[in-house]
Amino acid sequence: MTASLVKIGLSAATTAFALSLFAILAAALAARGSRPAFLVGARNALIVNFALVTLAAFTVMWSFVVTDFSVLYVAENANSRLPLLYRLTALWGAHEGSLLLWLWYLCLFSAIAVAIHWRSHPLSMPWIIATLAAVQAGFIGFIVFLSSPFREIFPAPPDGRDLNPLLQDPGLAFHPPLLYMGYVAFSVPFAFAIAALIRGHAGAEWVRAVRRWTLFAWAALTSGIMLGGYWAYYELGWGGYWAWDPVENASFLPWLTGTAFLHSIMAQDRRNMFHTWNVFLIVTTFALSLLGTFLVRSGVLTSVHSFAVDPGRGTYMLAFLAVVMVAGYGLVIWRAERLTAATQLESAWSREAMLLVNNLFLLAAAAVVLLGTLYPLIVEAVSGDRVTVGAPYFNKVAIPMLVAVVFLMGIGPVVPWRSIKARRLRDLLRWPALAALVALAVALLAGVREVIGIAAIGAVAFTLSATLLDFRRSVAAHRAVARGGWLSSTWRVMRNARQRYGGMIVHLGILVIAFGMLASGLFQQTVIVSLKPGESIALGPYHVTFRGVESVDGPNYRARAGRFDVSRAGVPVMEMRPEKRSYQERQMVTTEAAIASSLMGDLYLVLGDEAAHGAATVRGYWNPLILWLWVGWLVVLVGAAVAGSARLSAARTPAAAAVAQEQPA
Amino acid sequence: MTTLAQSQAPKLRPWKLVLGGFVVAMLAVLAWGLTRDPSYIPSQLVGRSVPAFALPELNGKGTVAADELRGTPLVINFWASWCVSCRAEHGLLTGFGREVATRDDVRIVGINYRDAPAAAARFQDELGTFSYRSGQDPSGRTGIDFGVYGLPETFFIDRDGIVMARHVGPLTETALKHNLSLIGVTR
Amino acid sequence: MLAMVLIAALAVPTLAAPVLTTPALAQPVKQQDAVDSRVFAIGAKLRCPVCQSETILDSHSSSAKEMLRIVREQIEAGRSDAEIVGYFHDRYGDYVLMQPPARGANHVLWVLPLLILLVGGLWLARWLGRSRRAAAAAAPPAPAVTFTERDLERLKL
Repeated sequence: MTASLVKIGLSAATTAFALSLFAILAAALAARGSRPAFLVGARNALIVNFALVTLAAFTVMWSFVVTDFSVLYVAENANSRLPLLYRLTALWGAHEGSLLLWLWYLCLFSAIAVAIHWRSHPLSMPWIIATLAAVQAGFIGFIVFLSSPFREIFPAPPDGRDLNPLLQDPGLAFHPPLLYMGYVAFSVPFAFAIAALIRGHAGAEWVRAVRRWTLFAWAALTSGIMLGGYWAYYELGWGGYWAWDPVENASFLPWLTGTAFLHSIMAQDRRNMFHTWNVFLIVTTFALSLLGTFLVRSGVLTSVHSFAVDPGRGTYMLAFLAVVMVAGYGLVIWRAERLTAATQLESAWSREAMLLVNNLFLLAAAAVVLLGTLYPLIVEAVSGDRVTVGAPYFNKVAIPMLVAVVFLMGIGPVVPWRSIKARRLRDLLRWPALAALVALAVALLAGVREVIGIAAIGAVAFTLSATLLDFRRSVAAHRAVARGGWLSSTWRVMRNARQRYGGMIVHLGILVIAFGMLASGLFQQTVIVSLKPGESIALGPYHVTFRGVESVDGPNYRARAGRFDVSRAGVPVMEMRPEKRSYQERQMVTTEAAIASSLMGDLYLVLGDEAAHGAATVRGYWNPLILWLWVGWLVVLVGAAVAGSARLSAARTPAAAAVAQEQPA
Repeated sequence: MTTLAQSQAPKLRPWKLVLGGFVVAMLAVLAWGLTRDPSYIPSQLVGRSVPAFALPELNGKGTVAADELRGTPLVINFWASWCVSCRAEHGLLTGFGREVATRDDVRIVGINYRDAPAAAARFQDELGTFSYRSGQDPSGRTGIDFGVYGLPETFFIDRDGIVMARHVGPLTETALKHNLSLIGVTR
Repeated sequence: MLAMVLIAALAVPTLAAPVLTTPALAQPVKQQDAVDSRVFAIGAKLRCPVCQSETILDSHSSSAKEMLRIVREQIEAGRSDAEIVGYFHDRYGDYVLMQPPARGANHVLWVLPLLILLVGGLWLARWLGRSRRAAAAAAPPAPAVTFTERDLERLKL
């Protein structure tokens, strides 16, 4: 019976493809001829598509659960000894299934978007539906015709290949789902942007809807990227979490432009400005999400993340990306004048201007990362030479720009809208500047000699004091008026202006992350030596003594495990056992690092090759404060949730209110 | 209200040209990128002297050395028992080797790269013995001297010891004929 | 004021803490020797030709380890960093360097970021200046769809 299960899945997917085409047509007709019935039909098609794609995905997932090897995708990515968790997550472990996950998210968010915005955006709805349905059609078509996970093989093999051992890790359960959630969630703001461009209108209601979706997408994308780093740190065994690999860069690009957009949309919300710029940023962010999906699967660039190379599929994806870019940017170019903002800038010393400077640095960083990633391709096209643009370049060029953004993070929030006197700004920033100088001195005393490291420490101290002082100032002002304790004032202040304070918490989270990155980057200790049993090394506050290597067996691997006794100030603390695992089925060897985490830092041990007389090469790292990266990420999520829960008032300025009333959304 | 039709009509602005140009350029670069292999590395040796090497002979007692082979056009093929693609070209190479044995205007040697003699023997048992000598390069140092990055790789050297061409991947009849012509040998 | 003191109080120990290391104990520890450190420094500059964008230091492949062995031998033979990197560059070309050599067109990698900031900054400054002029208020454009009131009613769920 299970043999026919994927046939059902394929039928469901094919029906969904037809329905998405129908939805495009119906929505376009509804817009042109003002036929509400067509619009209802288009909406229902998107909702039905969600059910169909869920069914299709379920059939494949179930085939994994029951290890049905007559399904080709299952046979290639799982075998009978694979633990259940990895059988479930193997669904997105390779190309075809991961596309199915992408599609499932797309259908989910499309259905949610049309359901919750149906009443508040009746005039934009035809274009929103048409855009979402077009993206769906592109993906379903790709899956059904070129990358089907529903294919069967006869006769069914007795057992399957193993899931890539690098993916047999809890990280796989969370990293792709969160990352794709972020990528795909940007498709809703994209649909809104297309609607705005076609209608020539983007009012307060539009801003409200887009902002919430973008915050959600941004939080998911941030989580996906952080989880990717977390996973690389635990799984790949080189003591680091970010290698500026082309695919990592591809996920970082939409994050940078998405962050820029999150900031500049505030100006559109508060001051009714930057309309064209904002739709440009949304189109760019979504295009970059698609670019990331393209790069990892097309074989254009080599990467540790690449799925199997297939230029045929690459051609289709590039064509799809081209359609999205030409349509999106074409509309921006054609309709820019219709979206021109009503309000003017009053002063260069204003939050609006600060937001633009923030955008400048974020986009410059994105341009640099894009250039570095594509440069080998450009060089090869022009001269045939092969070059490599690796971590040294990105660290030297992109990091200073991001340090500038961190520094701006301290100035922007204290600058009010419209204008501020330069003298007042100086007063506000006097203490943060002092804190920065103190931090610079401490950095120099601690032995930091790289200019950018010192600048970064200064920026973090500056922004931390500016943020905390700003917060204190607001709570104190509230106390002066409302008369309450510090705690109750804090609570009330935050509850009333959740957007602002959510943003502040996010900034604090970013600072915690930055701090962790600085400490683990500047003060990392590395020791790579060959040890005989009984010999020790010193890392951070620990003494690590090697005791020998022994064999261990796992469910689908055999391993050599090293035993290390760890002590601190003479007192034994723990035993650590890094492993080298051999997966027989895939003929792959992976290293499992042994990591002991604490808020002060991580002790990180990797077992290398063994030599004569029981000796083994050991790589040991002491990564100070690296846990702060993951803690900071959680703080960012809390802040994003607070900001997202804000009850946005209907009108911020008289101008915005007037516009909102004149035009239904 | 001012006249809206004019102020809202699309205008040609510099940023639009820049944006449009950038989109076209990026799509063109990516499209071009699809047409070639991302892991391909061009050979640094083409046009330069063949690196010196002196390797113990596989299944023999002699040495396979660069000096001894100078003076005649030479073909060097890097292979290994663990290399799946090497199987595809094995028949062509052994056939060519037999032909070479009857001529004196071209020579061919193999280099067994990062392999063990036992595994190499099994490879030849299965697919047929090579019709020419191979040297052993178990450490891969000679391969590094040749800039080898992915097996199989075949080098075509002219009578003066200059590397004229390098072929990556299984050798085909057409590629063999073409590269031989570059070192002055007709097939 | 209080906040400042608190921040300074927090900053100093947290920054200093990572630098603290184990006090010397009677038990001897094995250090990474100078040769090793040089091997790893050079290894981080060279890309593994047979891997997917990894350095020879990070890669687990046996080819990468062989290359590291060559680096070690050459260090022990007294060659300089530049000579050793040059040895591999000679055989594999620019591809094996983690950063393109600073010559010819590669300068664009370093010039372009500065150019983007410069041009972006200038454009921003010009825009800030220009936008202070009164801009024509954008009047609501004609809606692309004409729904009647009844239609809007029917659309409600």
